[in-house]
Amino acid sequence: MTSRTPRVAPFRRFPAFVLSAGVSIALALSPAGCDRSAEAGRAVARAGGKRVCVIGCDGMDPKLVRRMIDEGRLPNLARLEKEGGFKPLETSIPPQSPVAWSNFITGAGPGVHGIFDFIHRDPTRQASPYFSTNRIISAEEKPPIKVGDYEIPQEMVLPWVKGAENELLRRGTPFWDFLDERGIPIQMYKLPANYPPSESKHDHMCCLAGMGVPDAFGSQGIYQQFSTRPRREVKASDGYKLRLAPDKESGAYAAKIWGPPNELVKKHPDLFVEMKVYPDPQKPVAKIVYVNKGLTGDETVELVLNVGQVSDWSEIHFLKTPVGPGMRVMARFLLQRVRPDVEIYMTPLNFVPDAPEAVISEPPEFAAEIAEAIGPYHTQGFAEAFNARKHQLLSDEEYRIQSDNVLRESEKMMEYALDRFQEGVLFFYYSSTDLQAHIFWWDSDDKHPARPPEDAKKYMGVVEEAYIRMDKALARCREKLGEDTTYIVMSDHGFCNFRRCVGLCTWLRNEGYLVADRGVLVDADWSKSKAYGLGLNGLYVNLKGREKLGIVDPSERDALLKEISEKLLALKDPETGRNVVRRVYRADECYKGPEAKNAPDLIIGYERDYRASWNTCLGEFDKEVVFDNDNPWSADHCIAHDVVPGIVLSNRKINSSAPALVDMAPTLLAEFGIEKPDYMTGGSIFAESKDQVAARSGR
Amino acid sequence: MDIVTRIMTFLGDLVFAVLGLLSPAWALVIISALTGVAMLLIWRHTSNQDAIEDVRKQISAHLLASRLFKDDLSVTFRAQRQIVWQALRLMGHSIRPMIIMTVPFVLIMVQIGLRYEFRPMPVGEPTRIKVTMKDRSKVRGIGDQIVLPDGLMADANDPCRAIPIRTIDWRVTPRNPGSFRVTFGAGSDVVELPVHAGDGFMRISKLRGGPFFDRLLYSAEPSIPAASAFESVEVFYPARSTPILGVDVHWLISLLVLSIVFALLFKPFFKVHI
Repeated sequence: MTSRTPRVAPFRRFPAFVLSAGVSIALALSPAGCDRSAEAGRAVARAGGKRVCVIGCDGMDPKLVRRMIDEGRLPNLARLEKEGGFKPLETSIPPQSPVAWSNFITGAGPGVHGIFDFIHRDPTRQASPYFSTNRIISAEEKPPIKVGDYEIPQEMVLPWVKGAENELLRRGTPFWDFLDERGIPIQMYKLPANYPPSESKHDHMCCLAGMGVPDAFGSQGIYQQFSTRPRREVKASDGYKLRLAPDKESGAYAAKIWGPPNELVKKHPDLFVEMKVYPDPQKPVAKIVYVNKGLTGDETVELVLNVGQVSDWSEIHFLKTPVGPGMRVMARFLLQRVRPDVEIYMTPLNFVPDAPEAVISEPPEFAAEIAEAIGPYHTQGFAEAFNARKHQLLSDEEYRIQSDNVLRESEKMMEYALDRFQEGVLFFYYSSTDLQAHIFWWDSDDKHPARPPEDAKKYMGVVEEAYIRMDKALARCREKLGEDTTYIVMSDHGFCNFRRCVGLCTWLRNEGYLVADRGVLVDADWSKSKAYGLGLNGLYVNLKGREKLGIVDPSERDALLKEISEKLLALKDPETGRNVVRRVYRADECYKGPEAKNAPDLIIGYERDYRASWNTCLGEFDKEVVFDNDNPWSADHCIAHDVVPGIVLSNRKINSSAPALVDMAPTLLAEFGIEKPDYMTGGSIFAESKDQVAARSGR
Repeated sequence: MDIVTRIMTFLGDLVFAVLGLLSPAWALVIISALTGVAMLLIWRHTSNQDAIEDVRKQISAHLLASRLFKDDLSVTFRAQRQIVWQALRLMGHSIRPMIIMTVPFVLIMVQIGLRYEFRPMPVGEPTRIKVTMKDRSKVRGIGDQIVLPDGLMADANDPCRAIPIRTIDWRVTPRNPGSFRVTFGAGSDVVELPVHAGDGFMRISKLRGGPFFDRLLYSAEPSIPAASAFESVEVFYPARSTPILGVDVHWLISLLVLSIVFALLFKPFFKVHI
């Protein structure tokens, strides 16, 4: 007879069942049972309780910080200075954010990380420009599967067909790889120049990518402005001006919210959602209505906004075919006016952080976890609406409101970061000190390009307010993390007025180095052009053997560079007689490393008050070589690097006499007892060595 | 419909007067257990239990046959054909109890939904109230009139009147927690709707008037009189989140899953064949 487990009568088992079920449910309902995070289940960390908190304030300027500390308006930064020090932080060459933050990330200069400007060019395609930090590698060339009007890309249904991939173009090894390898946890929020986010090899790194993350179009931010003003609709690369037309049938104003091209339909028409606007007949308020299409039915979205009010994040759903797939994105709406014309500004279409169309964090679920805690947030790298302000579609006040929303969102995210941070390195990035300054900074009595003197002073106050909020952010960190944490407040560069534009391509054409009528990318005669400008600081030689249509023999290159450098250094502003260019850097002298070969031949370091004209950036021409900047974008930093250093403050003694951005990565490694690798050109700012300054090169 | 709604709301209020003492998550677990038991009892009394037992035995027998005689193709095919047939019979026996169960289950769900779908207006934050009129001409004069009690404050620019779609929107901010009655309209044509603010767990009717199914699902309020110029009044309360087992899913999914789990767990005790 086989032994059997004795059966228990049903109702005798009942109390035990209830008890065990109750305990299980109680455990599950308890707060501990609800704890989910990207950290859960990851490798065991080994920071030994040590904490380093870095607040990265883009563009925070040492002169203004000094003044505000002296005025007693930055008490927490003042305390940091007293405890450890406050020094200017040598920036990158050129002092552009992607370059500078890449210096920070790799502890080395552009010769190592390969980021030289916002815009690079592909010499094999003769000056073809591309965004420097990331690129899309196209899918395999396979014909789509055609079903009626629909075209289904093979990679969508056939797993063995390779789809498009997004590649991070920043080279070199980021500092966190060394920490990650040793089990030191790293949390980074809105980190610039790290999109797509690099992978954590040992599962100790969490990172939300910042500057570089595109909008739903894959661009760096396409806003949409809807207006009843009769005008031609414009769909430019950085913004759409759209017509809000009276709809006789409904009595409303109607427009389309445009999305990216629908790659599933023949000829790839742009996706759109119909929008209707109902202004109140008397009051400064309007209702915006649109219908999100979904597989399970339509959802009507209604927003009621006062003039000057920005909506919360509102989801917009595009349906690519009647049976899916869909695309979920989000935007915020600003009702600008309702009379005499109705005008609405819509932010670029951001990814929804709980299900982004692209990977924007490492681990990928990190972005959703943040959203779960704080709600939706800007996923697009450039969150401030500077393009709309540049194009004068937003007023100063509207831009202030919009950028203040970005800052408040960052402050909320930092609270989440502080709650979550236990040990290791916490890096938190603020863009407001840079992108508010680009519009509102003006620190002289000279005539402002776009606003009267009293407004220039008033809006400089907005920048100062942002600095005060950085000071408060530091106070919040100290309150939450305590005194046994190393605090570093740093910026990648400083700021100065942008009063006069320099048309570098125009100058090159006038001097006979460039032959074109309309622009480098349009109609350059490469058989006669010796040099061209592209990007904010780059000048390239049309070199034989390197550029596809190069004509300058390598043996003539040095002489040409010398000639151009001398002429540029001698260039005078016809209005003031001042020098326009402060320094001309030769890439082969200032960059060391495997990527140096891809650099522009010359990097132009403009004088204070001067910067490359907007047309120069894409190789276009201006009427004059030096002329007034009349754009609200009235401050900049893409000039000579010694004019716009950043800042570094810490509660630990800063021993370095001349700290630089490239020192930050070695500093973070040294804090955890990790020796810096050979390719890092800097050293710890806390441990000055005699030959540190001398050893530094190629930043 | 008003009478049924009133009775069900009364019963729901009674049940939740007790369950309301617990946290919303625990209350949902208990209500799911009660629902599971209720479903079992309804099933037992409305289904042909003998026939279901017979079908289940038949299925077991044919499964055994197909296993025992797996080398005999004709027996295996016959057994499988019988299994499919018996499964269809089982489904047939389920139709009547399922149909009968639908009515009380929907009514129970509506009552649970009135408590779990939405949370009260957050204090200090604006919540939208939308009034829809039957006729465009009534948007101004009647539709845009409101009487707000102390404790509620409308935006200075309100209302937003969208005449082409006959709607009037108010953005109301509660200054303190509590339940309030808001009156819309003027003269003899007025409509009232209770609104709630704060963090409490309570019955929330987001709608008065409107389409039949919306009223059925979201309202415990009486219909708007047919002669009224008002079509509906709707409050856009924020959604309530009630995490169960550490997972934040919609309350309806929690209810369905938990009530099925409890029904299966209690099945042997009530000797029910499903």
